[in-house]
Amino acid sequence: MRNVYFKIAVNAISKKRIVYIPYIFSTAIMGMVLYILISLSLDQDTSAMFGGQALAILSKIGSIVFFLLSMIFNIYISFFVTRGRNKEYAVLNVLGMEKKHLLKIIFIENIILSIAGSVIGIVGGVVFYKLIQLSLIKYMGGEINYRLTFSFIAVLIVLASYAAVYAIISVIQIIMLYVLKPVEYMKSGSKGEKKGKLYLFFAILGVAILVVAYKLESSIPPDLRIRTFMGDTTKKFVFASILIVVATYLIFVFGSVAVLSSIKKFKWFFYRKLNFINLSTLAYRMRRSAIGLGTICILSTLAIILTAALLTFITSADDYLATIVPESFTLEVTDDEGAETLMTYLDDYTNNSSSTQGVYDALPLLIRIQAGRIIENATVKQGDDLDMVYIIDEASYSSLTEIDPDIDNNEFGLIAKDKIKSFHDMDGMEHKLVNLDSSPKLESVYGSVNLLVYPGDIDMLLDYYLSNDVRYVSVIKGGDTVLWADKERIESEKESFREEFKRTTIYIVDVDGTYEAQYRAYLEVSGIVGISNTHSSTGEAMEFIGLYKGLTFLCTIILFLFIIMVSVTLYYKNLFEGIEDASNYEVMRKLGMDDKLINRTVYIQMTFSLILPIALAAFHALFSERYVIGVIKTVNPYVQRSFQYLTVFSTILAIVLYFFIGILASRTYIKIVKGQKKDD
Amino acid sequence: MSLLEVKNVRKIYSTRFSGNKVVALSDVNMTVEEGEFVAIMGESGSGKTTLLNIIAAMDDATSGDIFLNGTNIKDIKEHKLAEFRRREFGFVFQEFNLLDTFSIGDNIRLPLVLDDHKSKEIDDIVIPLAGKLGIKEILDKYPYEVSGGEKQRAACCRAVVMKPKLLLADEPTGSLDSKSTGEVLHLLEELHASGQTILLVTHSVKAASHASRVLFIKDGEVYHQLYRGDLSNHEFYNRISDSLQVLLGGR
Repeated sequence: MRNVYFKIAVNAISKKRIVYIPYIFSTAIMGMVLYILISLSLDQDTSAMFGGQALAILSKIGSIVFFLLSMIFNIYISFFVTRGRNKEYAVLNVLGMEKKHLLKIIFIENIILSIAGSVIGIVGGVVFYKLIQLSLIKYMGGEINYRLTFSFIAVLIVLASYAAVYAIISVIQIIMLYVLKPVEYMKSGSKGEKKGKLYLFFAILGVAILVVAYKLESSIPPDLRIRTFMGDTTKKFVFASILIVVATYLIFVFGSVAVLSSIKKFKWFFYRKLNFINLSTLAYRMRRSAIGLGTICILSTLAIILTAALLTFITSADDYLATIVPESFTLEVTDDEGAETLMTYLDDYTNNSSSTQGVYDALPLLIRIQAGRIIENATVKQGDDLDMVYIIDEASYSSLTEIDPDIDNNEFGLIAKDKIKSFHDMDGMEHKLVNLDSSPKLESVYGSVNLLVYPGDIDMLLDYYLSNDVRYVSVIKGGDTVLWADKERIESEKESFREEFKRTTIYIVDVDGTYEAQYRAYLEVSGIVGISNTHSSTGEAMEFIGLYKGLTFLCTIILFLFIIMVSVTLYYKNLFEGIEDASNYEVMRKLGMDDKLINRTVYIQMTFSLILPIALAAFHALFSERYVIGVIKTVNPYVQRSFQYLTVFSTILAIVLYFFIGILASRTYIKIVKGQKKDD
Repeated sequence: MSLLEVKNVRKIYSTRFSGNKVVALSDVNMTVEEGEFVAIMGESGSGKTTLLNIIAAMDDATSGDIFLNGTNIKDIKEHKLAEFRRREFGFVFQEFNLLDTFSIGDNIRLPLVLDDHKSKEIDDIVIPLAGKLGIKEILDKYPYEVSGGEKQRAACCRAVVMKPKLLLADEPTGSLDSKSTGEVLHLLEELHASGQTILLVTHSVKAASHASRVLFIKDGEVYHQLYRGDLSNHEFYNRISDSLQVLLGGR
């Protein structure tokens, strides 16, 4: 007897190959990706990669996200797959099979499906893992190791995840089996379009909820800081997202029917061949396929946001790196001996003296300008605007910013947050200020302090101070005040002061090669005697690149999952609609509808059911901009605000992709619809 | 010239893999005159429906010719066939074949819409016709909301809405109770009385007794035919029953 159940289960699967084979393969692909992600997070070769530690952590997080998403999707798809099985169970029930026997069939079927999916998934995972790991090492940098690896723990986790998913699916099927009323399922008659005033009400409710959700998202401040975005903003965004999901389903389930029914009232439009068939079929279909379309819309939203975010992130990465690492490192050399050693070292190291990009003199003067006046005896307070002002010469400014400052002899340039037009020195002399732009390179040399650009060279400026009765000059070096002098001291120590200033030379060094090589060079150079105040962001850059490449990889994997999900949803949607519509098209053919018209209606309906979810998804994505940019800024604060354009671009990408999926799905549908003709 | 002429029509089905051949129609010859109401009777598997499908150009004959108003159906190009079927034939099926996606009214409008009629024209044709066939009140309902008899009346209405030369009815009372059967047969009689040529395929003696001529088909050939003449439905019913007994007895 046990054999009978097994035979029934196997027969059901083999007879419905068109349904089960894509299902097994889609679950297998999910198992495969899960295996790869878990193996990546566990493999020591991954951590040894350049930026591999970030990748290992991201893979771990990714495998959890991936597992949750694929589990929900698997359960959702299982509803498609088991659609129509209830009628079969009802017949078996009427023929004398008890529900516990049916339960055995369901159980055996699930065992077969889970074993098939997990075995193919794990085998695929083991095969593709090495390939993916090698490509990752090539992409991220690291030592290639051809040793084959097999993660027993990953296998166990994948098997456990399959067990969990099928346990949930089985429980749902058991519940459905126990509420099964055989007579109802054996009735064949299909139902027509249902009308109701509630449709309009729920459609309006859906739109209202969507408006509220969009308003909530728009109320997120445009320039999120990490501190604000982690708290209430996230709560607000999550709440808005839930509202968007609810609104999406309401709009598709009720709104679509309400709109289609309204269009039908325009007889001159409705009673045209294509409109007549398409509108009627869509209005009828929407009751069932609306859920599928809503799901496609939600998945598309996630895919578009992810693609746009990823592209925003990628396109901003170079700017960020250019900002944090405009050169390999900067150093201050305080004596000639140190400078000599540095130059020798650099010549030896790079064999290329051009690697030293620039040598800049600076006169770091501490003055205080408040309300447009230099304040006497001012005390320095960190953080006050214009507390600390470095004075640099025009040539240094031009070379670091590639901007011609265009300042006259009686003017100073100013690079500061506060836009000040002029200031008076302590002698009451007014100096005009020309506000100038900064540059990443300038900031890397001087930090983000305020700068006065003197129209001439620094020697001239020093002479100006010495000859113009300036009473207070303090010279700071490395954040400490090393010299503070009043007029008398300046006079008496004129020469030594000039000497002190001259010795403060800032070198910007750019070594050719990878960030890793630059970082090594920096570590060696900073050990040289006579070199102080060194700075390099190459270490940060390395971390960022690891994170950036890891995120790119992970997002690509998740995008791949979305594409699989959308393709599978569309495939099943068309498969079952094709099966249901086949007899309708056969009747229409008998009534004089030609094959060309059938093809046209199918493609129009497909276009409609793909464009609608993508269009709505694009809106969802656009409104998520502020939050998404906020999230990206936690990793890359220099993100460019091009998210909107990239969202449009991602939407176009999605449309192109869906176009191909749609054509394939339409062909499946047409094949089924026309297959009916041959079978008769 | 007869409206429909079927000459030496033969249909052989061969299975895809084994190559076994099954003769569905061996040699059918028949004619239908304009305004006639002809019934084709025979047992299940005798080839009635196959013949009807071949006449309607929904299936190809292995050999032989079908002429409708002198036009050989074979000569009609593939891309013109759908239009030909739409304009020349009306169909009534056993399972009604009303589309769930359309209301009853839209089911009836479908052939007119496919034929690119204007919306006003469509209602000018459909509403009076539905009134005549007694289904005006159910035009806005969906097929699942009406009875079997009403569905078949709607199907008849859809079949004649294009004023076809020939109405083909395949077991139109096969899925109906006796009351609805009576209503539908009465409707066919009325259509016939108004000048509609009807070709009815049935194994119901009662249905066939409403025709003006009955053809008996057996082993893929027209075996026998009966004319009503001046007989009443009841008398014609008895004649058909007797002939059927002979037909079955001859096995």
